Amino acid sequence: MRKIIVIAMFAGVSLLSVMAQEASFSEVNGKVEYQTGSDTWKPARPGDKVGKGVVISTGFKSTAVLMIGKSSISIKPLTRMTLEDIVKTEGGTQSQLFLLAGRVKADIPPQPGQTTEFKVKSPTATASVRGTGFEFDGVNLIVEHGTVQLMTATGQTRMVGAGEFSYVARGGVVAPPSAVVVASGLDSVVELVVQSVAESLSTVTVVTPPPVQQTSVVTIGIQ
Amino acid sequence: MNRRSFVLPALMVALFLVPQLYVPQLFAFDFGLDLANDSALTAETDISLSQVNRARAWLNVPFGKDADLMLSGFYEFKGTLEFDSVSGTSSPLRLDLDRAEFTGSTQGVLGPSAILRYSVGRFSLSDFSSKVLSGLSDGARVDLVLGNLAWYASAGYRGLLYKGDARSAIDTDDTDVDNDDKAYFSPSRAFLGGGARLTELLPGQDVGIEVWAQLDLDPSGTSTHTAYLEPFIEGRLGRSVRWRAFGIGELGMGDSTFTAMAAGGLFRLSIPEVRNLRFTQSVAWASGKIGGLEAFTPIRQLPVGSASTFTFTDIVFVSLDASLSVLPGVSGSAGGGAIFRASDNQPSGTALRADADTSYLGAELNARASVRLSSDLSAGVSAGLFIPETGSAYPKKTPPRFTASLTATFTL
Repeated sequence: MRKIIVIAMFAGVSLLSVMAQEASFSEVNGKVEYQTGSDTWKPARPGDKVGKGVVISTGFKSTAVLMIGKSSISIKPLTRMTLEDIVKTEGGTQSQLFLLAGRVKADIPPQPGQTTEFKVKSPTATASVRGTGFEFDGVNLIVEHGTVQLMTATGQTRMVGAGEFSYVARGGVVAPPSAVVVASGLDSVVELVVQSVAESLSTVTVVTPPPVQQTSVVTIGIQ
Repeated sequence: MNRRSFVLPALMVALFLVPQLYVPQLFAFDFGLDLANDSALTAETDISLSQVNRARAWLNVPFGKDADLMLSGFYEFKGTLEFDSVSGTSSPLRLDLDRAEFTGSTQGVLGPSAILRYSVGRFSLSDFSSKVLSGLSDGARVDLVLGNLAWYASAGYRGLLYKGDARSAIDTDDTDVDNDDKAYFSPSRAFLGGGARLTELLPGQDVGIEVWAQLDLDPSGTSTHTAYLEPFIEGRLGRSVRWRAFGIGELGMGDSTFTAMAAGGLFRLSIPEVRNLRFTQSVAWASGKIGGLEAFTPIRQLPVGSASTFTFTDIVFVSLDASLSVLPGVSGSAGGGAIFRASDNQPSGTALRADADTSYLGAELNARASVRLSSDLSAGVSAGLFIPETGSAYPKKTPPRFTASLTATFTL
């Protein structure tokens, strides 16, 4: 009986240590809206706080920056995403987004003594990040700082470091990362792919399939 | 051109018509026409000017989201003008199939996450180093990705390739075909290949191994079968350095059994912040007839360097190149290398003097530039110079060999 009580106490403490957290808009440019539950769409304003389950949508030439603790998520134009989970534990924070369309850029600074886990899921990909900065559209990945592990549904993994670009080619194969200038992010992804192919060590010209949307799942995790 | 050459035009027409039968299933298809002119000047003992004009039609037909058909064929005219003898030769208009590849992928063949990718038809295929096989082949290839292990296998036939594209130089049958002006196709040879590649077995490093076999299917003449084992490693050191190394062991079965070897390595330093500046240092060795080894004989023979006439057999080539993007759409490169023979025998394509006692054959310099004037128009210029070693290898009066070419491509 005493054993059961001890276990119940530990469980209670664990539950208490998991608390819901809110995200807030720090920047809003153009038409940015969010929807909570079945409510109608509301225009987002800097300082607005949103929680679990909220759907965020950006319009043409519209962007927003969402802060979760010290982590920031830049939401690019024509993006629709759901804030699936935000929890704060004793060890750090865990956040999960569902990216239905568009592109996000995440900056997850490492916190001393804390772990910040951040996941971006989409119909084609899942990205999980801890202590890094990267831009990801489900197929193409560019890393600004830190090191990211890119993993496809087949389980193939490659480490992509700071200042490197990689993508998932046809057949679920991760292209070897190439050194690139990260300033423009994924805005000119075609040039990045061309540059990546040019940097490949192959001595003959090969027809390299362009990066296309995969039905497989891509997971990105930090090492 | 023999009777088989008429099969290809018919095949091309048929392949272009087949997609029309499936129009209701098509999402969309793309097509186009590329016009290319390549003018080349070669100066050695004589000066010659050659020109290749090629019109290439292509069609890309998607079949669902996981498969597509790529077809392309070309018409080509080639002419050469010898300045010294004031004579000219021209090749008749050449119609050939450039690419006919049906490719696709399917998931869940061996496990829910495994992806199987396949290609069938005429397509580009090469081994890891491209020293055994490269360029177009007729056949099939499958790739299976299971976690960090990628398996691949291929099989094909090279007897329907134009002999100039097949570049087969395995035995005297190939020499005979090369010298026969009426022969269009390469000797009848088949190949099998397979391999496995472990991605990032160590951080940033891939390792793998490939096995290739060439089967001589021509019942007449010399029958030479060859097999190749090619382990390799490829990786990166930090953000800026890429490297690779490979070794190839060859086992041949002709009039007698023989062995040969090849190996190579490459380092590349990339500095994308400085106009995509890249330095590439490479070394490649192919055995000659020495120390129990025979001359390396790949399935497809590639030239070594850009201005010399050496091929990848009985050779050592060390090179250093630098390339950069000067402006958006404008890129250039320059480099040089030293060429050595791997044995005491005569190297391919050239004749040393009788008392030649050095391995060093000469140095090569090259430069090239390309510009994309618009999305439809691009041009390139290249030049190469081979300076033979005339101290103790080539006859004293052997002139340098200079090549230059200008290429323009227009896409409709």
